[in-house]
Amino acid sequence: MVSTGVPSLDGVLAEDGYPDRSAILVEGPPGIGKEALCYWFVRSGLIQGDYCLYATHRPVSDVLRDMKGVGISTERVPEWISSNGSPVKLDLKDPTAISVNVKQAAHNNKNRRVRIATDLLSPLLVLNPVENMYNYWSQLLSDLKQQDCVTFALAEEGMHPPNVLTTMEQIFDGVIEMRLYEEGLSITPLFRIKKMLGLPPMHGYFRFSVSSTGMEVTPHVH
Amino acid sequence: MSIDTVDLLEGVAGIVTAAIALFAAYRSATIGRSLVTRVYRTRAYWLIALTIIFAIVNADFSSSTIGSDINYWGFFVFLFVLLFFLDSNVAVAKEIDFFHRDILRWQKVRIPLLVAIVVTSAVTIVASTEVTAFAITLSGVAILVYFGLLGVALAYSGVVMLVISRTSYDRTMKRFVRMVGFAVLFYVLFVTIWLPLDFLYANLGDVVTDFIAIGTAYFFYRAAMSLSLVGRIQELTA
Repeated sequence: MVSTGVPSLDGVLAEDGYPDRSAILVEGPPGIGKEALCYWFVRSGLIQGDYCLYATHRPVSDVLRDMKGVGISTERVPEWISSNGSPVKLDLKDPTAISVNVKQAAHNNKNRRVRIATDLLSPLLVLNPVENMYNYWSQLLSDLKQQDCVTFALAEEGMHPPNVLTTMEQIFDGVIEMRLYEEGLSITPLFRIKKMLGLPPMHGYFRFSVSSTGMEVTPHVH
Repeated sequence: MSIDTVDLLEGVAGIVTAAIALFAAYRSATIGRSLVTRVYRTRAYWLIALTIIFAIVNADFSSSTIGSDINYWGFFVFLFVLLFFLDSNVAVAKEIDFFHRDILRWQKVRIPLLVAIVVTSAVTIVASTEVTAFAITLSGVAILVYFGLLGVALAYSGVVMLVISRTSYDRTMKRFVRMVGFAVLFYVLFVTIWLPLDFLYANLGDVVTDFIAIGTAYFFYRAAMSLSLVGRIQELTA
C-alpha cells in the first residue's frame, strides 16, 4: 500500500493508503483542494524515497508556489514533465509523446516504487474525442500498473459533461470526489470515496480541511 | 403616492436587500473558508466586505440622525471598496490570463478614474454639508455632475467585468466576474436612475432605486455562489 501523505485519510483507507499498482482519480471543482491532496501524495513519496513524477500542464513555478501555499516544503521536488520549467517539455497537442515520456521515466526507475501525479486528464479530454481519450488513458494506466506505479490523476468537475467523467471513472481503481455541499444554510467541504480497489463500497462522507499545517479528514455526520 | 406608502415600500426593499446581501456575505465566508486556491479565496473575502457594507448602506436607518450618517458615509465607503474590488478583479484576471491582456485599457484608465471620483466625492461632501446659499447651489450642480460621472465610471467598470468574463480561460473567474459585472450594472442604475425618475414623479426614483438595490444584492449572492460548484445535501442520502 502507498501512503496518501495525509494520515487521517490513510486511516479512512483501512490504515494503509492507496493500493499498490493502482490508478486513483480525484475529481472536484476548481479551488477545492484536489491539487493539495496530490501534493501530499507526492511529498509522502519523496520522504519515503519513492521516485515521483509530476506531469502537469502548468508551469513548474506555479506548482511550486501552490505547494508552498499549502505548507509543503519544496526542498525535495519530484521530476517534472511540464510545459514550462522542466527538462522534458510537455505538449498537450501530442498525447503520444506525453505517454512515451511518462512510461520511459517509470521504466528508468523500475527498481524503486514509482508515484506519478498528473493534472493532464481534463485538458486532454477537452482537446481530444472522449473515445480516443478513454483508450489512451486505459492503455497508459494499464502499462504503468505493469511497472508497479501508483498513478494519481486529477479531473476538473464542471469542465466535462457528467457522463464523460463517469466513463473515465471506469478505468480507475479508486475514485475520490471532493465538493462543497449545501447543508441547510451552511456549506461544507466534503469528499466521498466512490470506489477503491480492495475496499467495500463506502457510503459515508468525510469532512476535510486544508491548511498550511496539513490536511485533516474526519467522518461527516449529518 | 403617499409618504406612508413610499416609506413602507422603501422599508421593505431595504430589509430584503440587506437580508440578501448579508446572506451573500455569509455564503462568501463559508465558501471562501473552504477554498484552497488563493485567487478564489480572496474573491470571496472581498465579497464579504462588500456585501456587509452594502447591507448596512441599504438598511433603512434614516429615521435616526446616526442612522442617516451611517447611510450617508456608508455610500462612499461602499463606493471605494467596490472600486478597489473591481480593480483587484481585473488584476487577478490579468495575472491568470496567458496573454496578460489589458482589458479595455483598464491599466491606463484606473488612476484617472479613481482621482476623478475622489475629487468629485470630496466636492459633493463639502457642498452638501455647508449651508451657505453658494454651497446649496453648488450642491445641486455637484450632485448632478457627481452621479453622472459615477454612472459612467461604474458602467465602464461593469463592462470591463463582462468583457473579462468573455475572454478569461478560467471558468470560475468567468462565472464570477460575469455576476459581479451584472451587480455593478444594476448598481449603475441604482445611482443614476433616481435623477430622471424623481424629476418625472416625486419619490418615484427613491422607491425604484430601492428595488433595484435588490438586484445588485442578488447578483452579489450569485457571484459568491459562482466561486465553486455546490451540491445539495439530498445527494448525500441518495
